Amino acid sequence: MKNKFIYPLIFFVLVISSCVQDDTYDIPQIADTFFINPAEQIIENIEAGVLEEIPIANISNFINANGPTEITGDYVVKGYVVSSDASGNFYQEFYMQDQPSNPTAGIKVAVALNDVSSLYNIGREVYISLKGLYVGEANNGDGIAVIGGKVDEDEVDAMTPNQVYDHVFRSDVVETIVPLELSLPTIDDTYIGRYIQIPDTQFVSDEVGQSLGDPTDYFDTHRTLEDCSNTVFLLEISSFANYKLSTIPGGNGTIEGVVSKDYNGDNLVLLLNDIAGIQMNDERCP
Amino acid sequence: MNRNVIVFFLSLTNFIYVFSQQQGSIKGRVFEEDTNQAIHGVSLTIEGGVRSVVTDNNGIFILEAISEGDKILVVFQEGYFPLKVPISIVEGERIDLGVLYLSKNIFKEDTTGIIMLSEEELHDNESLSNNITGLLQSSRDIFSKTAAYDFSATFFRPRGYGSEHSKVLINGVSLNKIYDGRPQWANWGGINDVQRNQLLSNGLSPSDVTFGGIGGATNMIMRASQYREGGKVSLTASSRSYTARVMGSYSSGLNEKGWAYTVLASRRSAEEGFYDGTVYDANAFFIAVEKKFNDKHSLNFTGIYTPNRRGRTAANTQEVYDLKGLNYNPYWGRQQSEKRNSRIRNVQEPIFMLNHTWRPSLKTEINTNIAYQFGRIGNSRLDYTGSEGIFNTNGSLIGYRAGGANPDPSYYQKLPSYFINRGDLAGAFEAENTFQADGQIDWARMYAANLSNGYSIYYLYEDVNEDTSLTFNSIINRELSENITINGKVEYRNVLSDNYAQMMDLMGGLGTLDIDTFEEDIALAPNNILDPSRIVKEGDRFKYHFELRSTVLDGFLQAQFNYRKVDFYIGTSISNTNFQREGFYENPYFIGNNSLGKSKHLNFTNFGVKGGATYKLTGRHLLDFNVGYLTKAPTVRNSFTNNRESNQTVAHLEDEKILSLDASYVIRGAKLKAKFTGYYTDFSDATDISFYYIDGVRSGEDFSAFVQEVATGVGKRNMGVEIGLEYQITPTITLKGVSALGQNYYTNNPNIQLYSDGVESDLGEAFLKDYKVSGGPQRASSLGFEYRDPKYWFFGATMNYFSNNYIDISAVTRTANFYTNPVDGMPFDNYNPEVARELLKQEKFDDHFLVNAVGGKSWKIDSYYVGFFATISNILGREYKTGGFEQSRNGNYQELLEDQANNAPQFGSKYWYGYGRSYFFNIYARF
Repeated sequence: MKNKFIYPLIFFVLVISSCVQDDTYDIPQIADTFFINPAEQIIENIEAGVLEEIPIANISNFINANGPTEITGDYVVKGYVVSSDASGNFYQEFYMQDQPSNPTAGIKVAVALNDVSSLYNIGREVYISLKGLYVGEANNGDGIAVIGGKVDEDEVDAMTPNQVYDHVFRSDVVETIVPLELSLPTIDDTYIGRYIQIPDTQFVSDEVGQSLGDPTDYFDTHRTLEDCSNTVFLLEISSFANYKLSTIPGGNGTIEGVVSKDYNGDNLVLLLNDIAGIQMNDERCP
Repeated sequence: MNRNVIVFFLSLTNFIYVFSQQQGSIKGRVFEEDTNQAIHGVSLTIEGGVRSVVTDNNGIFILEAISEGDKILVVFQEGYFPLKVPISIVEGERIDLGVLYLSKNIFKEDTTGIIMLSEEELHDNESLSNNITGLLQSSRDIFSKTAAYDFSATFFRPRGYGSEHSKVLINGVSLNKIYDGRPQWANWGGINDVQRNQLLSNGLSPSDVTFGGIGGATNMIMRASQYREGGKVSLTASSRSYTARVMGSYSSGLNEKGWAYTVLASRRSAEEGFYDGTVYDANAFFIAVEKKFNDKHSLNFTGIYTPNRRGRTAANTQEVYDLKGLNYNPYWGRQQSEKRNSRIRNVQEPIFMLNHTWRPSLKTEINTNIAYQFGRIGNSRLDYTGSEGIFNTNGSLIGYRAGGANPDPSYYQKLPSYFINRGDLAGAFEAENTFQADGQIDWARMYAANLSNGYSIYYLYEDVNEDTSLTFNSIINRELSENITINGKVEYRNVLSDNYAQMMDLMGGLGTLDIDTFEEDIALAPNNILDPSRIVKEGDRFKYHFELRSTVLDGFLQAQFNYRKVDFYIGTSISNTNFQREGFYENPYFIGNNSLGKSKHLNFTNFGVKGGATYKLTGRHLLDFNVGYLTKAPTVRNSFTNNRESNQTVAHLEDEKILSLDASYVIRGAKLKAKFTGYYTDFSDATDISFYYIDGVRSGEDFSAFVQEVATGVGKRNMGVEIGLEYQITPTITLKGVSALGQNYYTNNPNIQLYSDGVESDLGEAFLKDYKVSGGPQRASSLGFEYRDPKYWFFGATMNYFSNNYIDISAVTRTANFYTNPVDGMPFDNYNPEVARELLKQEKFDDHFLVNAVGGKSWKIDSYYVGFFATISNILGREYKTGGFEQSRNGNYQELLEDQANNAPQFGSKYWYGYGRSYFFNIYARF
């Protein structure tokens, strides 16, 4: 009977040595082939002259007052992402500008993704293949040029996720965005889509101590910024911004964000990426 | 079969007529027919009696103190055809029966492997959990056997009882989890070959080792001395949960020095089971060593370790199944070339026990057991709420970034119905194409997101439950007189259950903040305000962390009376259960002791009484009655409103009360065996907790919330009829018919409370009365035959019909909240009771047919037995729903109406489908 020990022994060895897919995974590296929406091919095509790169500033040439324009040429536009939806203040969109610092133009890009910044993070160099996309306004008359994927009557709708994969490419370059320093009176429509910093500013005194977002507002809340010479400017807070319950500070300092316009295009507004964009710890000006 | 005839003839020669009073005894030996070797461990009992003896190493048995009269001696050993020997007992005489021969049943012994035990765990549907304990009670009558082999694929539960109503024991030690009262089958999966000694008691009928539940009790004897000497190796291929199994075992038998050991190892594996992406990786190790010191004392050690890792599957809406097929599983996605499942269940809970048996006299046996179980159950899942903190100059957390979106490929916003409901048909078309072409998790995209942003937007974590359980018990069986046996037990169980979430894989990111990003107020966002800005790294605990301490002291006493015309029993149990939660995190909504530190003690004292009688009209016709009343403490699971967050206990916690009775008529003819049973069980004051996301309920300022729904005072009734018939047409052909016709429904309108982040709302009554209780088909019938050729092969087939399977209804839509406009608190203007009736009608799944076949053959080669058997289930490849539940997301009339309006509901019910055609093939060799 002694030799029968061999069966269990063989068996234990057999069991322990066999295996199926196990539980540990390597982290894929940036260079891995499945890197999402890589821009390499499109950069090569630009260099080869198959595609033509146009500056963001030229997009306005396609804008037609009667409604959205479909881009039919083999154009590519390059930009650096300056907005982030990670705090909820942007929804299915991002803004990009032509340079990481000292930008000369910016534009809004509408994409039907709920995690835009997860791929199109701030500073990311992005190439958009324009052929087959539309340029116009997302909300008719709002005065904000947008690149989108579809047309709904006279408005441009966001690119569907599939269109995003086909048109919006990620370079592996991520630049540090240096905010453009502007004073309140100098901000005008040409700065839409650019990332700016306003020094020596503060919230108007009757808003200080309130929450950034008005809990009773269903959509956006507007708060008022002022400089020390009583020039005012609107700050727009989405009701989905995760900092909407944060308290409006009473100090003076800087604020950073993306210049845009409100829903109807009546006013220029500043859009905050996140609460870190407000640094107002200095003494208020009277 | 000719061998059986011989055996029967032999037994006839032992027919001995003697006339006298009082009691006598019998002795004899049991040999194996083929080998003419003595068989050790054969159990012998007088039919209808409670006492049994087993043969020793030389096959010898002596059964004493049997009351005089005509009796049937039942000779039983797993793996052999049972033998019934008619005897007449004479006072003061010892009848020598000589040698009894058992013939090997080389077909039957392997079939437990084909019960689809893994189904329940595969589906993770708690409310539908199969009553496997009931199903395992297969060795006795045709009804249980059919329920196990033919009904199990459909979630059929005998009498509709959940598994918490059946007790599972190993060597007399209770193994049902205290947390939810259910046995954790993965803890002893894959050791089938050492689980064959099972003492089963159906329903309320008495077990020697426990009061049991209304669903019965199964005591698996896994002591080394109870295994016959020999070994076995088997190989299995299957297309169900695992694709390959290899198992080997060896038992030494009891040697001259009183030692015995048994070892087993097995492995079950699959890259993918029937459902896509369901990896299966399970090893099993078993060891038992026993030392018999003398006739009075023996000590056994049993160790079981069955690590089991398995990919899970989701319930899906019909829309999803229509687009992707029944094998579809949204939980996996390709990472490089591998299918990676995001939801892995990993169970590793070894059990060790010491069992001491003491026989101070021939009539008394005392078993004292100590069992220790520890280990870990982990359930992994993907999270998309990873965040990065924003701090002020003082280092305080003032905000966060969290850039994720739900990566579930079947998330409702990615399905055509979402676009159809917004009038976007082009979007619907695109969503349909995308979902059909891919529809799996995009791991690469999540890694890219994390690598791009630095922090882990997406990560994989595990909900971990670490139980450490110590059980001590002592069981006494004493024969007071020839007619009266007493069983008693005292058991103490102590379970320390540590629960937490643990970071498994940051997926390329550097960490995440331990906050709840659904919370709007940053001050209320940290999961633990003692450490509000903690960055979570791999291996760290986060989200929640608490311990549950449970102690249960349990006593059981039972007397069994056996007389010539009637057997009866009465049993009672009393128990004291104590729960306490201790939180290690302070939840911002439950300040101080409301979440941190120890909760109040919850203490419950419960009792049960039961009794029953078997009246023997004749030896072949019996009437059987059982009745029981018991109270059950709420489970730990149902005692706290949300044990992850707080110490808050459920208001109006009550013991569940159960009244159960059944009556049977049994025929034990030579050719016809039949059993007709009627049963009635009433549950009252039960507590149920469920968790879900709901729209359309007023909770603070929001009309949407993640809530805990607590239903208290739930009443249910299960009643019905069970029929099992077996008819031997010829010695080789048996016909069988089985029917279970049940009706399980709610008997009252329980109260519903919703809890959400410290806000409690009482929704009042839920109008559940007369709705059906979900959980498998309430009606199942089977018709089949079996052919057993004398040349050791067999073939059988069954046709099975299932009906009355109902969806699990959402309670909240049956409350007044349903017709209340959350904005103004008034009834909806457009509320139409007729439409509401239609919307709230409980879905009854389609009836369906399953055809199954089984066959096998075996050979004897020298001293080896080699054989195979195979089953094919659902030969016709029918598609059928096994279960499902209404999504509670549409909390009110308006939401539900709008969602149904376009005939493409976004929040339609979710379903499980059964296996299509599947096979199980097993070859084995025994030595």
